Amino acid sequence: MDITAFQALQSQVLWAAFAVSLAFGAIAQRTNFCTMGAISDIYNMGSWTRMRMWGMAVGVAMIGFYLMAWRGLINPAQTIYASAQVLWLSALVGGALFGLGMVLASGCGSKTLVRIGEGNLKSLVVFFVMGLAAFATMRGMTALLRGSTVDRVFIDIKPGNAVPAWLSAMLGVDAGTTGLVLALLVGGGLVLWAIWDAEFRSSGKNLLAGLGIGAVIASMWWVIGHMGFVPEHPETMEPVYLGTAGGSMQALSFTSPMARTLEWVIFFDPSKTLSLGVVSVFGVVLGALAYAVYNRSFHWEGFRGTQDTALHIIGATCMGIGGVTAGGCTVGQGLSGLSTLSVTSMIAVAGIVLGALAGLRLQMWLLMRE
Amino acid sequence: MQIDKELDARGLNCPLPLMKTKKTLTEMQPGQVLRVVASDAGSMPDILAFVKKAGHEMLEQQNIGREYIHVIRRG
Repeated sequence: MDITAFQALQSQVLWAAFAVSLAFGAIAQRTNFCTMGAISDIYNMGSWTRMRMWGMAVGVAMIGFYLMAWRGLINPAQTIYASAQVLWLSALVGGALFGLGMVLASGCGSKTLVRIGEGNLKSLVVFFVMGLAAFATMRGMTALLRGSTVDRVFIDIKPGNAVPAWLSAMLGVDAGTTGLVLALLVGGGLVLWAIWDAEFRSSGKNLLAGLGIGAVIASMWWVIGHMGFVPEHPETMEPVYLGTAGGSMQALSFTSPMARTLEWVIFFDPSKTLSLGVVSVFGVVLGALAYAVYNRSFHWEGFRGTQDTALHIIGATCMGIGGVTAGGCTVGQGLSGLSTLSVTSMIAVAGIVLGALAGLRLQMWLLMRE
Repeated sequence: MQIDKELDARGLNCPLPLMKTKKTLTEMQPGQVLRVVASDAGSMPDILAFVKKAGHEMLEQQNIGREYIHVIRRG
């Protein structure tokens, strides 16, 4: 492939990623899809409806991912979640910090972007603070702290993080078949669990969220993992996944993309191509904006007062530091990571849930003091 | 309709409108009526689901401009 064709393909991949992100934003806005909301609903009123949406989305994404892998369209061993190291302490601590932060900041990274699209200026502040904290944890002050503490604790597992890879190696069965069978069992189980509930089934909005968000994640795997895979970069001759910051295969995630978006704005260079992270941030905001304008729910909203401001800033900081430390957020580790059946993703999500529960208890304690 | 208590949840986002509503209802007597005004569109499905689960009665829900009004009888 010559450099002209390479650049043309890169542009097509980024436009496709943008379109997929637009869909995510519009569906999330329409259906009130929200990981923090799902945990909050269980904590505050014992309602599992939004958790079923989330579970169904993971199930659909998982089945989509391993169906593509089985067909040879994508290579599951090349994802950013497939590493042989399980940074379990980073995932747990980072996840917990992220979970706490998302409760204080009225939602995770993706919900923050959706709310920006709805006109919420609080979420715009959260975006800037979260992006700054994430950047510092990628390359700055908190990166040094992360590297000298939690990142030093890990387990090496071969052939990698993904459960199907272990089973395949242990049983001597083809990896593609193992992955598909496991995805149908686990992912199919999640989908069945969701739609088993009559109340969940009765709302088209719930089904749209579960199917739609899951399909979006699977679509992004196809865009980056299949459409964007170039076996030989024209200059380096190395295999590369177009549109990604590090050249590795990934789907949607929002914590480091927020940092990369700030970096792109601050150090703007028209000669440099955009990345998946930056286009997905804009895509989600614009998708949510488009739907909010369409259904006339767009309105400007600001902080309620000093405490509201402080909690959002603290929450955003926790999300930025926690999300990078954990290797991803509710979408990065939660939806995208879990769709690959990655062990680190499972630990990160457990951390996020624990942190969110602590955040909800903290919010209730603050309310009781009023 | 007599409103026994008003809760201003404007400017608050999930999960606070729901949590404040829940806390306020626990401080009221059965049969009393609470009127909640929120600015978060998500409060509509959230508070309705909570009211049903907790055994209260949603007397009225409406969207007027940028406000979402919930009138709830404590169960």
